[in-house]
Order: sequence, then C-alpha cells, then structure tokens
Amino acid sequence: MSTTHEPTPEMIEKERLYVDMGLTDEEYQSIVTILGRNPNYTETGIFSVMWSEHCSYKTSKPLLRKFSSEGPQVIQGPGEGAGIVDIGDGQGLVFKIESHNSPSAIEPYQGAATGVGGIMRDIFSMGAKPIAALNSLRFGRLDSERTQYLFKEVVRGIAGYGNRLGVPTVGGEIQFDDCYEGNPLVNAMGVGLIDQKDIQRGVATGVGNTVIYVGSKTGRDGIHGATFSSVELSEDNAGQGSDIQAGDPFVEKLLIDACLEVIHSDALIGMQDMGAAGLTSSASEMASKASMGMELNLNLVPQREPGMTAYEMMLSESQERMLLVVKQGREQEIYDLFAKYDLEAVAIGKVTDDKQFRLLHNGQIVCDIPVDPLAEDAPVYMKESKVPDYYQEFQELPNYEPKVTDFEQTLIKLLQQPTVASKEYVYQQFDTTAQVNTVVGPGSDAAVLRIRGYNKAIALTTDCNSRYIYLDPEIGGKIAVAEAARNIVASGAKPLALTDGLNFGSPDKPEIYWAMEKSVEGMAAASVKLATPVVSGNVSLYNERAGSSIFPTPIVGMVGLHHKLDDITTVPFKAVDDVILLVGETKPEFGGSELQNLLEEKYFGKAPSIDLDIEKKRLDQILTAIQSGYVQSAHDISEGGLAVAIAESLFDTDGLGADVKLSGDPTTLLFSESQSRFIITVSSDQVEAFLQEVDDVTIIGRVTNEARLHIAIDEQTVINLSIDQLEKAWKGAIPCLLNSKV
Amino acid sequence: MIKAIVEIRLKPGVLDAQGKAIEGVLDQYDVEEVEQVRVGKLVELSFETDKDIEAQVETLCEKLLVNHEMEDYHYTIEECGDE
Amino acid sequence: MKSAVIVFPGSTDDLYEVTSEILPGQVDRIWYKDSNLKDYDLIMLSGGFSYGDYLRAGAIAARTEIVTALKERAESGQLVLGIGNGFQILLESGLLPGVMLQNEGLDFVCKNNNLIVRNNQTTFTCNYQENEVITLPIAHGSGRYYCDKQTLEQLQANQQIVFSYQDNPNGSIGNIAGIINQAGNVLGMMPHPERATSALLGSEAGLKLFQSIIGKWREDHVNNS
Repeated sequence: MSTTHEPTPEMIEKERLYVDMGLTDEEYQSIVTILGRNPNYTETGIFSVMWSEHCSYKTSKPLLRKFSSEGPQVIQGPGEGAGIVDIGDGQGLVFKIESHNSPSAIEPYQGAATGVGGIMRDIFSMGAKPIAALNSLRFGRLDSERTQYLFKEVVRGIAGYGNRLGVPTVGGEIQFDDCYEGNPLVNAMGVGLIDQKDIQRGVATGVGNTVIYVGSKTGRDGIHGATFSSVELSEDNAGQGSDIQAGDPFVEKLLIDACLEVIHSDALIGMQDMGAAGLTSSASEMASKASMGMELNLNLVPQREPGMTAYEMMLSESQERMLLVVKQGREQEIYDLFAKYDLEAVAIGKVTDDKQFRLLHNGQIVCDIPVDPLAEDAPVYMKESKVPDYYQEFQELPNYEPKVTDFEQTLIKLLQQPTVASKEYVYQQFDTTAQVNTVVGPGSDAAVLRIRGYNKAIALTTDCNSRYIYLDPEIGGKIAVAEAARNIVASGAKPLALTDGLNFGSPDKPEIYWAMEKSVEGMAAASVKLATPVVSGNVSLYNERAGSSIFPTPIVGMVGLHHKLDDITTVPFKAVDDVILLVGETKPEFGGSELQNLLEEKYFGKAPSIDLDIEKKRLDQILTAIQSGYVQSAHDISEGGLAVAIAESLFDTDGLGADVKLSGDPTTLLFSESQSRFIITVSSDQVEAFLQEVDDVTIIGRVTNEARLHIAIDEQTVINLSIDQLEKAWKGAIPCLLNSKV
Repeated sequence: MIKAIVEIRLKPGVLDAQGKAIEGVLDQYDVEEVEQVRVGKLVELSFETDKDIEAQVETLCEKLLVNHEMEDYHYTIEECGDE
Repeated sequence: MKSAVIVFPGSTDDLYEVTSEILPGQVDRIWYKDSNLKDYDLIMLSGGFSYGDYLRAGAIAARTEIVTALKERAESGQLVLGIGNGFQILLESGLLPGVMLQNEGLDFVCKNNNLIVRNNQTTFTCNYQENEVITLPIAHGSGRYYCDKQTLEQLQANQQIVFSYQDNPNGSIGNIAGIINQAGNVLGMMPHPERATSALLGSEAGLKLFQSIIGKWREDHVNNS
C-alpha cells in the first residue's frame, strides 16, 4: 500500500505547483474548465506531460501545418509512430527521425542509446522490421574537454545500443560549431521495411478489448523527461529528471522479434510504443485515435521499484515497453507469444466507450480525464516573430569575398576541419553491415541498402547545414531539403519523401521564432518543389543554455528508391581517362562556408543562393543520366567547395588522381559553396550523351593514374598535392584532435 | 603496499540490464532464493605509502572512475603484506 | 544436405538468411529453447549479441541446454561452425580452447580485414589456397582471442589456427582470427564470411568457405551412395 504525501488539488492550485511541472496559469485554468473541478496530482502530471511541447507540439503546430504530406507515394503521413512511403512490390518504407538532446547533454551514452531505442520502437510499432539507423549529431568545438567527452560517449552509446539490435547504422552526419557547446544535438533516424498488408496503427478500437503491457518493468526513469526537454538547461535543472533512463538493447531486440511475429495475429487490434510520457501518451493517444476511452488498473502494471505512485507510473519513461490492444478473450495467445521470447505481457486494462481516460490504483479512481482534450486539445500558441537585428545587418553587408593565397595549405586545412574530415573514427564503431544488405555504407553521399530478393535498392541520408540557416532561415531551409535530395540523386535514386527533425532554441524569443517560421517555410517550399512530402518528424525546442541558443537546425532525413541495382552510383572516381564534369554555376558565395569559418572564426553575410526550379530540373536530368548508364561517379559539392569535393572523390580509389583545369577567380572556384553543383565523372565515350541530357555542364578535367590532385586555374598551377597527403590530413584530423591533450 | 578497493554500483533506481539478464537464467542453477542481481565494478588502486591516500582516492572517484549520473561508490583501504 | 542455425535471444538472423540462399537443401532455424537437436550435416551458431553480451560475450548462451546437446554431438564428430558471437559461445562452452576478451582498443570495430588462410586442409577451408589472403568484414567489440602459452603452442603444433589477421585489429594473441578443434569438426572464427558472399555487397571471399563445406559433403555422399 503506497502512502501518498502528494499535494491535494487545493494545494496544487494555491501554491501553483503545476508551474514546476511545466504548465502555465492559463493552461491550468483550461484544465480546471475541462474537468469542471481542480485536477489532482496525478491528473496534473498527466496533463503537464501531454501538453508539453515534446508531446503536443503546441508551439510548433502552426509551423508544422506548413508542411505538405501529399503525394501518390505516401501511405502514412504524420500522426502515427512513423511515416510510410510506397516502394513498389507491395512494400513500404517506414521512417522517422527523433531527437534525444537534453538527456544526451547530461548522460551522453545513455541519452544517445535510448534515443536509438526510442526511434526503433516507433518503427517496429508500425509492424516494420528495422533495417537501418542513421544519426545526425551536433557538438561544440572538438578542442574542448567536455565536447570530446560528449562526442565520444554519444558515439559509444549509439554503437552500444544500435549494434546490439542487429540494425546496421549506415550513415549520418556530424557538424561541429560553437553554438552547440553545452547543447549537443543527437537526432536518430530509423528506417524499416514492411509489407503494406502488415501495417499496424496505434488505435484502441472495440469496447471491452484488452489493453496489454509488454516489455520491461516500469521504474522511475526519466520522470518529467518530456517536460524536461521542453525547458532550457540551467545549472539548477541540470540534474533533474529523477533516475537516468538506461536502455536495455537486449530486451529491445526481443521486443522487435516478438512484435514482428504478433502483427500476424488477428487477435491484435493496435500497437504503440511507450516513448516520451510513457504509459500516459501511448494509452491516451491510442484511445483518442480510435475515439474511445480507456480504463487502466495501475496495480497490474509491472513495477521495478517498490512503492511506486500512480503519478510515477504514468510519467515514467522506462524504456523497452509497448502497449497493445488485443481482442477480448484472445489474451492467452498473446501472452504465449511473448513468453516465447521471455518477455512479460500483462493485461492492465480495457477499452471503454465513454471517451474517458480513467486510472484505478489501490481500489480508487486516481484519474478521470476526457481523452480528447488530453491527447488532442492542448492549446496552440502563435508566438511572436521578429526579424533579428543581426539578419538586417548581414543583408546589408557587401558580399564577403576572401582572397586566399596559399591554396594548398587552405585545402589541407579545410579537409582537417572536423565537420569536413573523415568520420571513420565514428562509423568504425557501428556495425554497418548487420543484416547483410548494405551496398554503400557511411562515408558516401547517401547510404544504399539493397532490398533482398528484388532488383531495387533504397538510398538514405540526413542533412542540415545550420550555418546557412542561421544566416538566412528561409534560404537555408530550402538548401537543407535540396542538399538531401542531391545526396539521394548522386547515389542513383529518386527522392521519395522526408522526415524532419526540427531543433531550435527558445520559441519564446521572437527572433528565434522568426527563424523557426522562416526555415520551415523554406523547407516546405523545397519539399513541394522537389516532390518530397514530409511524412513524419520531431520537434525539439529550448536548445539553449545560459541564454545562448543553437543555430536553427532543422534536420532533413530523406529516403529514395533505385529503380534497378545498376543505378547505384558512388562517390569515388572509377577509371583512368574518365572525364571530370562540373554541373552547375559557381559564384563567389562564402557566407556560412567552411572557408569563412577558417579565416574569420565566425559566420556572417548572406547564405548562398538557391533556385528551386533549377535544382529540380538538374536533379531530374542527372538522375536520368545515371539511369541511362552514362555516369561513372557522382558527388554533390557541399562544405569546403569544389576542391574538397574532388579530393573526397579521390580517396579510396587505389591510385587514381585528377588533372583539373579551370578559369576564373581561384578562391571562388576552389572554395565557394554555391549550391546545386555536382562533380560527375563519365567515361570518354559517354560525354556526348551526358551533355545531351544535362544542362549547365563544364568539362573540367580527367582522371589520371598518378595519385595526385593537380588543379590549374588559367594555366597556373594552384594545387599539386599527393592524394596520400590529402587523405592522411582528412583521415587523421579527428583522431588527432581526440588524442591531443586538451 | 596499501590498496584502496573501490566498489562502484549503479544507483538504486537505474535499470541494470546485465543484472536482469543474469536473473533470467538463474532457474537453470537451482538457486531460486536469489531475488535480485545487480552488477557493479571493482577497482583496485595500489599505493606505495598511505600519505594522502583518501584524498587521492576521492579525487579519482570524483573525476574519473565513477559516472555520477548513474553510479555510487564506496571504498575501503587495506594494508597488504608482501605479495 | 541438411543444415541448422541455432539462434539465441539477441542473435542476428544474418547467418540463417544467407545460408538459406547459398547452401543446398534445407536450412532450419532452431530457437535455443528447442533442445531436441535432430541430425544435421552442419550446425551453425549465429553471430550477434546473444543475451546482449551481458556478463561475458557468449557466456549465458553457452550454458543453455541446447549447447550441452550440441557439445555431445560435437564430441561424436558433428560439423559445427561458429561465427562472431557463435565463436564466443564455442569458447565459453569449452568446445574450443581459449577465451575472448574486449578488443584492445576498447571500441567496437567494424571494417574489412585481410586474413591469411593458414590451414586449407580442413572441411571448411579446402577450397582456399594455402596462405591465401582474403578480405572479410569484422564487426565485434570482444574479438581479442586469448589463451595461455601452452594452449597457443598446442594450437600451432596441431595446425589448429585456421585464419590469422594480416593486420591485427583487436590484439588477439598470435593474430588468431579463427581456430579449429583437434578433431577438425568444430570451427570458430570472428570475421564474417556470410557477409562476404555477394559482389554487390563488396566481396565474395566468404563463399569459398561454404563451398568447401558443400564440396566435402557432396564427396561424402557420392562415396556413400
């Protein structure tokens, strides 16, 4: 029998205890109106997590509405565990990206590990087999001890959890910038494969049907985790969140296997994972989506710790738990199925038709809330938006056009910048070939997995250059989507859809809200133009510390489909005498560039320009050229510019080199970050065919068998370096930084 | 030779995946009385003399050996004879 | 030909899926709870993380009833192949000598690795050339093979070292990547041949291992029919 020294409803009101739980006075009053009385402690806690930003998107909803999820390829848009696109042959690709930023700032290993666990549960709760993981990470500068610690532990955590699930981690990206100091971003993307007939949804239909709890016992992990992540990190709350959520990937692997078996049982009505706000969100959402009610007896919830209160059980974020709704009378089959995997399955309640969310504990009703207001009627806030001063100033600056003199040293230094440098240190810790489907792993433009048994493959990528978005959120937002599409196309696939992982500072600051708004508008415009609807996503706000905010970082996770295996294209140059082509126009655009950061140690000015019409046309043309067999290798030009892109294309080529001839301003040609450009090689007999298909192409050189990069501009040699030297600089940069004494 | 034996344990509420996995197979060994298994670490630090030994052990525990978000620690000091 | 892959909680299905495609005849997937081991020409132990690698890699799986049954069969000549975690289980069960420790670098390592085929006279390697250098992927956190000096000498004297690393990625003693028991019917290896059976996925170097087994089986059956 638990003794409750919990505050009474009157005390909660009088002392405004709901504020500590994250509710405003107005929100509290709304709750009183909805219930027609003062809520008790458990009910207040339940509202506080369901109405937190993380669960209700109350601030971001007006922005998310700008996204379109329309398209013939879309099977499931936002609203379920993950989004689904049609990839032909009756198959669907299930995917979503999710953040776990605040926990990772406190305990990086477990924060990252449970981030992976959480996203995978969203994938297999739809009935899909998880087939790939990607991660998009942001850290402060790698020359600080704390950042090195966060970086190493986050990577170890992703590896420790992901590898044990038997899911290959095949790609991702990492960006290092000052603004992320103390606010690391850990966004995990999960991808699953499903036969469309097996798609499950999280619905609780059928009065009297049984609600079954499956998986690990409930402890006091991460209580108020959902609220915690909706609040700025400060010294005071840095340790809050009660017990650290620790993950158990072994149990999750068993859950995956068991759930993929249970979806074939017609006793199963619906399934949802217990993620943020645990049992509260899963139970109330399943009821709400089915327009039903639910009654749970908390005494039946498997508990790991003694004396847990109703409040604790409902807010716990213990990992590796799923909620199922099962046909009344068919419970035993489900228990037997999970017992096969040594997993606990327990009936804890039933579906009702009174649309109430009712909880019993120790014979008493401890919560009785109407379901819909809880799950769907969180207030929506239109925040104030204001153009920041810095933006006005940047727009008025003359174009930043640096003049580099030592081109070779600059190229080497750019290759050594942590954001550009080889991430081999990271991905060698990931099992990249588990499940034996990985055709192209980390290190390329997009990861490629074959679909076993079919002549097709999928391409996966995560992208976001937040520097451009800081400079100009709308343009930067367009670029984020476009860059992802470029990576997909460069691998030979047609972009299908995207998932958005929005990471921002505090929306209570009008300048930040402005950036949120504009970047979403940019992304929405590009997503429509490039025909990549937004099928799922996640929002993480309040990524600030001591008032200092991260750059707006809306991460794009995109998937594409190869029509045939032969279309799969990779970055490295292939053969001597192949012709090197530059597709696209180069202008002096250095705002937000690696070169600007190298020379000035800050970002300012205008973001590079982008024309979505040209982008669309170019992507279509390049894809057609690849599908027609004209292309040997393809690589999009991004951080560092053309020189970096060509160098990257020469790594791991077993002795190839390049002889490149250009004309114009050397600094611009080599290091500008103009958008929508590609480095493509074709064999000499395919040049004509390629030129017929693709516009805006310049022949810039040929592939040699001398392992050197030779670039001449207006017949002056500006770069003549061995590939070996470049590769050593690129590969050695991060290990070197980690080994040096800080 | 003086040794400090540091016992590092998971904090009480933190999930112990290893302990749970071991609990799951105990019935193969006829040991039904075991109610719970929790797995920790033991670190032995050897010192030449006992000068400032406690301060040194505590520094290492506070700054290196223990993850304070998830672990608690306890140490004892032992004199060892000739090894 | 009848083969089986034993799968534990936490094991991956890679070995089962790949061998279902490349081995002739039936490949059964045996869940560890089914300790009634039938007659098979080849029994394989999966890679992955049985029991999450908790306590020690392979430790808990090695002490299950099915492994006890497997040991009896192995002692009577049953052909057994353990890859990755499967090798760890064979070591923990005593079917192969030695023990597997955490990688020297402490981190999980996933990359392609050059191996030398040191003994091509076994059922598993007869299709390789002697001292052939092959590239197979490794993916492990506990791949550092260790045994005492006496055992190492025995392994060397009896030609039990079947694969060794050209460039040691984990600190294994003697660069040992895979060993066979004295009777020649139980092979354990850390690198993953089943991840190298397709040019599309990067390498076909692992195919010869399975072809060796198939070849030997065919020989035996032609002789016996």
